[in-house]
Amino acid sequence: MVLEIRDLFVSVEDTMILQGVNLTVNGGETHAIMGPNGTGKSTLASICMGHPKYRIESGDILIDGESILEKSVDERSRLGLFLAMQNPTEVPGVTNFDFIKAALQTRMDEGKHLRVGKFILEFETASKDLSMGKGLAHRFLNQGFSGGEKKRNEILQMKLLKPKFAFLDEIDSGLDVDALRIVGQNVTELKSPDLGLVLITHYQRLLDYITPDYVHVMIGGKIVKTGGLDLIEKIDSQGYEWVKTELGITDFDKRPEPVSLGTCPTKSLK
Amino acid sequence: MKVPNYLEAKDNVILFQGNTVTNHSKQKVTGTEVLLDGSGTVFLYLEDYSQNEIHIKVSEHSQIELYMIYKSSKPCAYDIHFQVNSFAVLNIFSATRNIEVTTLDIHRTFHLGSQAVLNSTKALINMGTTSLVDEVHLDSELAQANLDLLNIGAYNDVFTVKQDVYHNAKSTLSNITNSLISHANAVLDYSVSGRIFKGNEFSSCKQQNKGIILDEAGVIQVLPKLYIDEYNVEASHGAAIGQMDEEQMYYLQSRGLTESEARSLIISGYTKPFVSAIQDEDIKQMIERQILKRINEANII
Repeated sequence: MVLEIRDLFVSVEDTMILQGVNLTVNGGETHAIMGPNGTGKSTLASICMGHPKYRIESGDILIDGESILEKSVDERSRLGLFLAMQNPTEVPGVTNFDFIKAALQTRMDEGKHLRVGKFILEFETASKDLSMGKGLAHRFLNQGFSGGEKKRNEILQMKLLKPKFAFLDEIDSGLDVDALRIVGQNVTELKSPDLGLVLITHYQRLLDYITPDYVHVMIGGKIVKTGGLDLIEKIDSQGYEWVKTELGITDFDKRPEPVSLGTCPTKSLK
Repeated sequence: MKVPNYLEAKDNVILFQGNTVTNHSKQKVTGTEVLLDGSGTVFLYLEDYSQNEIHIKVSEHSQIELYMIYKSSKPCAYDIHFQVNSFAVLNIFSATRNIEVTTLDIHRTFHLGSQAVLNSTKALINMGTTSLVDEVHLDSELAQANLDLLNIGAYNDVFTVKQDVYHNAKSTLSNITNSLISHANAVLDYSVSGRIFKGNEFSSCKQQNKGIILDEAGVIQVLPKLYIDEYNVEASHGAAIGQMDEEQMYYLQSRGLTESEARSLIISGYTKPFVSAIQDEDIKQMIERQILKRINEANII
């Protein structure tokens, strides 16, 4: 079980965001991607999920050796990809329960039906594990949820959908200390040889609860450094300047300046 | 004319069919006047009724659950006057059905007395050209009206809806929520207005309109209006009309739902809260079937 991202170049609205990302995630591995704002971490997660806003210029994304670039968003999900989003979308009128039930039903073979009783028990257990409160099933999807509830609801979906590869995009933002611990514990419990995890974060605090096997630093749209837990500590204490200095990276976040093509002829009133 | 299956086993049914009024209820019906008294559930069925004016009075302190089903196979026009007296609660659920494409005009006027409560839930799911006028007069203090409406239009249907709320006394409350779905050239044209007159302080007038247009040719037009002539009041209106939300589609699809499953779920987000508010199971199932039929006929999902 392997997810491979090969030399991926991605743009949005004519701006190149990813500039040659290479990453291999095997089942059972946990990867942390860190980096300054605007370096393409979330874009990487979104493009793997197939967000239509982004355009792949070149490169490939493969699951178990097969390219998924031609797969639609839902097909990628059913292949086992999951993205816990930074800003989960609100869907008024659709209950959490109906949504997750539909998501599980659509994964089943034709003619087979979800055992609702078993699903209710699993839903309630997952909800309790994440301290989500009893009314969660009947609340409309993410509507009126606090920031922390939205993040926990993403993890609840992950627990029930049991993906093969999961991207957690800044799942720690908006969480208080207790909620962070709960989320961390739940994600850690999900770790298994059948799950490859990619954590996108700015801070060490999430990685105190979920220990990664590999830590990657992303700058200027590509992974520039890979290491272990020591890398996290150094980033937390010294930021990213030393990485740039060490690797000789300059102006990584500078956008191209507009270039003047000359002056147009004008007509002035006398 | 026969009684529809979903009403056969019901107590308290009043039938307005053709030229005839048949009262199978304990309520008093005189000509076209219906007096609702006490507490309980009443079913009022109108099928191609020839007299257009009907008067419905709800006695003081009564608590009535009223189901009104309009079925038409030819052009029909109804002018229905409701008088909800002081301290009475009228929960009215109404649905329009037709088997032929036809025209239907409904004009409902409500007058509410002191501390009277009107909760109106209306499903407009019929075919053809429909005009609905709802005029609500909150005549005495603490009168309250909540209007919820679900409108699904398809195949060149035209719905013209006018909702006017008049706050004629202090401390009166109104809340209008419209959920609109347009597909395949359907035109849904809404004018929603609330009026708070001078001196009627501590009143609250709220409107919320949301609409989803499922193809390029559908039209939803909402004109929300507030006429406020008093300072110490609450008033708000909003209209969110648009096509299927791409971010919602992406989110649902990112969990494995196909495009049509995601569309279906988003549409159910409009219809389900409405349907789940219906207490009577037979009526609820009938409306669910009708919504599903209308949606499937129009290939919405």
